[in-house]
Amino acid sequence: MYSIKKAYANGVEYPVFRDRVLALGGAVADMLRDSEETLARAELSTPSIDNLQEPLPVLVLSEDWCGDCADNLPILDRIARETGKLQPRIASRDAWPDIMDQFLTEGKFRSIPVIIILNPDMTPIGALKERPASVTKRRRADAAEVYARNPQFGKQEDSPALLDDAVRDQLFSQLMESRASSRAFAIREVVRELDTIVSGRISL
Amino acid sequence: MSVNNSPVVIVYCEECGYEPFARSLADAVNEHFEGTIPETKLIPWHDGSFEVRYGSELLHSMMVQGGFPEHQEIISAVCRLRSDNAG
Repeated sequence: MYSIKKAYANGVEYPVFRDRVLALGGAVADMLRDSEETLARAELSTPSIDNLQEPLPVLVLSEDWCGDCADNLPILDRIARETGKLQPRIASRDAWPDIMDQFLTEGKFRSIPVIIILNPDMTPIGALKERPASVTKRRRADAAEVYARNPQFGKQEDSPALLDDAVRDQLFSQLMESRASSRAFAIREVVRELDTIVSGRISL
Repeated sequence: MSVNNSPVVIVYCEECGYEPFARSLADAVNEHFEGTIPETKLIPWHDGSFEVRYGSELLHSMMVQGGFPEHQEIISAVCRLRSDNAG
């Protein structure tokens, strides 16, 4: 609990995180820009968050190189700005291993982001870890379709190292396109899960 | 399959932040085998991958063994395969 309070107090707001990611450049900066662009066209429904009587602190464990953080933190930021009911602060996962280890994915993975919605007394209400399971499931199904449509890519379980460079580049490009096509779905699912945590229907 | 003219290949998840681990391992392998095998090939990928291959041999997979391999573990495995192949 003490660590959560301390991490929150030392956390940064979204614009600081955003500036750092964009300064790093590369694939994750592109993902953040894509996420913001898709998010700008999305309508967000957050009935439970809207109905909060007072704003809740939210501690996010993240790292600037993390793709899922670039996907999800712009969504949290927009909800926070539009509702005024969430107050996120972003802290480094690696600086707070004791907190991270309380929120392991599948009990063993230090996956991020971890978005911990807190009561005003800083006790956790619930957490979104990495991404909603529905998003992982959709991405896997979409990737399976890419392989099914393109026999030259081989089997999904095979290593990309076994492909010729040109074929591998083509595969990577198609997988990224497939992922981009599910971005609007992913935004809806993240919003739904955060709102559900606030409604008290998801426990730790 | 002959491994002696193959590079070590490292597939790593770029968005997971694994590039520094991949580069560090590649540097260690290149330094150890300088001039005797081709430069280590790095393949940025996604989906949590961290995989090390030499020829057709899978030396390490995060999906199977979990975590990152020790540099020496990979260097020893490559030495062993080169020796087996020479014999």
